[in-house]
Amino acid sequence: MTIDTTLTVDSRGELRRPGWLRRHRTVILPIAFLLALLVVWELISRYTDAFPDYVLPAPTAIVQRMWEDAELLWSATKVTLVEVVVGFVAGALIGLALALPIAYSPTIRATLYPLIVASQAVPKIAIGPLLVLWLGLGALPKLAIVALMVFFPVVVTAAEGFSSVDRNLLDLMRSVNASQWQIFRRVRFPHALPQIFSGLKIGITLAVVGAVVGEWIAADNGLGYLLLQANTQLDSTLLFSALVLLVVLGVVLFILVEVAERLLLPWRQSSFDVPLSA
Amino acid sequence: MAQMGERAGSSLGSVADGGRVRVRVRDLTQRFPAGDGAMTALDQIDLDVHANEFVSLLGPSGCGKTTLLRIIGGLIPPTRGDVTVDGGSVQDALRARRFGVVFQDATLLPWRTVADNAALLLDVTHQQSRRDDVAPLLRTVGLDGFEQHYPAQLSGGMRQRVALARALALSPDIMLMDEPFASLDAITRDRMAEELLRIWDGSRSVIFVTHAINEAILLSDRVVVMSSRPGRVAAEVRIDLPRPRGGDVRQSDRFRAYEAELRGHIEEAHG
Repeated sequence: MTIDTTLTVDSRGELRRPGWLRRHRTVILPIAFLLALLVVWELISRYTDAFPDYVLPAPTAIVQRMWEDAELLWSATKVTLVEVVVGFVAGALIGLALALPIAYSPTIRATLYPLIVASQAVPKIAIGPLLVLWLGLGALPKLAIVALMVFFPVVVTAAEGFSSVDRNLLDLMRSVNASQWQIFRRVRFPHALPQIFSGLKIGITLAVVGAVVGEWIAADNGLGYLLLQANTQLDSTLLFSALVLLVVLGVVLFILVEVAERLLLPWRQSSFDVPLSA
Repeated sequence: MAQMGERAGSSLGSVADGGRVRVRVRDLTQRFPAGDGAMTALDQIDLDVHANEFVSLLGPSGCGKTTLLRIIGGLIPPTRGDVTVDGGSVQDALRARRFGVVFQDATLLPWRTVADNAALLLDVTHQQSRRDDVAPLLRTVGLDGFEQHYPAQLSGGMRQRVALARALALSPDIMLMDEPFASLDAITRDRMAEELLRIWDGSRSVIFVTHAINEAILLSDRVVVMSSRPGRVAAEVRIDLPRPRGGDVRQSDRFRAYEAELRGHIEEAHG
């Protein structure tokens, strides 16, 4: 039995279904607010002299530029997209692989954990030149930076997830002589999935940052590279065009991870249902 | 029901005759590190549980009854002493999957439906072919129609029914139950105890940890009262109430007499 939480009861005791606007407000509100901001921005840059065009171009000017330079922007987007996705997958896999020994062995946990935390304290931009020296000028140093940023939230959340299983549940497994592999497969891994997905969602947003940082260090294409080029040439409409695409890229990828989470963890929504009586 | 009454009668008879001992605990002592010394949780426990016998371990929290249950189930190695199952080691019994365990919390997997939770131990022991047994089992515990529900959609009593079905799925002949109804409300709790009596089909031994006197009397062939710090067997009381027992047995004078007797033993043991 599920209860539709959008329903309300009015003073006469009748069930009321809220209007379309109210039911979709989580989507409508942020979009409406963003549109209002854009209108204000448009009006300011078109009818006042508060900001010169190279500081704050009008939204319509940015859209026009995106249309004119669609081909250039699309090819840059593809380059960055590949760096983000490949680096993200690599970082996530490395994070999961490291989480296993950390979750299972207190010795390995004590050995590796401080080092992993320290690896995050190192500014990525500072080791960029070193990565270029080691890995060359191609895609590899960018992928390395992306993976370096992604693996951290994944290793922390996955290790926590693998090891936070109820002790009674583990005792139950031992009481039927279940193998470690069966315990991992049937209990630890699915138990850790919600936490792993939290790590992946943080990771995917960091992945976009990582790709841009990587392109700033050494690149000849990509949105981060374009951003840097536009900035040095005071080409603000191109700069904002690249920025818009980076935001869209990040949001779309984040949504994809969330969709994957909902598909893989369908039981999580059911926790909002009202319990039945005994 | 008549069959059950007969079986219960014969079980009592066999116990009285000193029938087959299933679980034998001898001179069991358990010490835990505490502060700079060691705390004695269990001290020289001797206990026999016969085949098909229902035995309750009764005592307040902290008397070591849960520790005793975990040692019998092979989950903790004892500091000293022996536990044998049909003369063999606990580890052999564990490998033969003879224990069915139910805890105070249902510890269901939230991502599995009721049916899949009940089948969990079949899955982890590679006995998926026995999954057909799950549906009748869920009927037995009163959960037919809820097979596809998730634990979050169930009440506490229903979750504990799933945990019971899960433990029964491997057809264990020794049930280890650690205050399985302690987190339920009083009404649900009484009903679950009566249901457990109905489900307990006499083909298994049950060791039931509880701190509720009337629950122990209603269910058990024998109640073992434990003292605390260190945990010792303070008294053993045989419950000679006829089976099958329904909820109405609680109203009988003999039930009240057992209640008074056990209360006396507990007060004596705990001051």
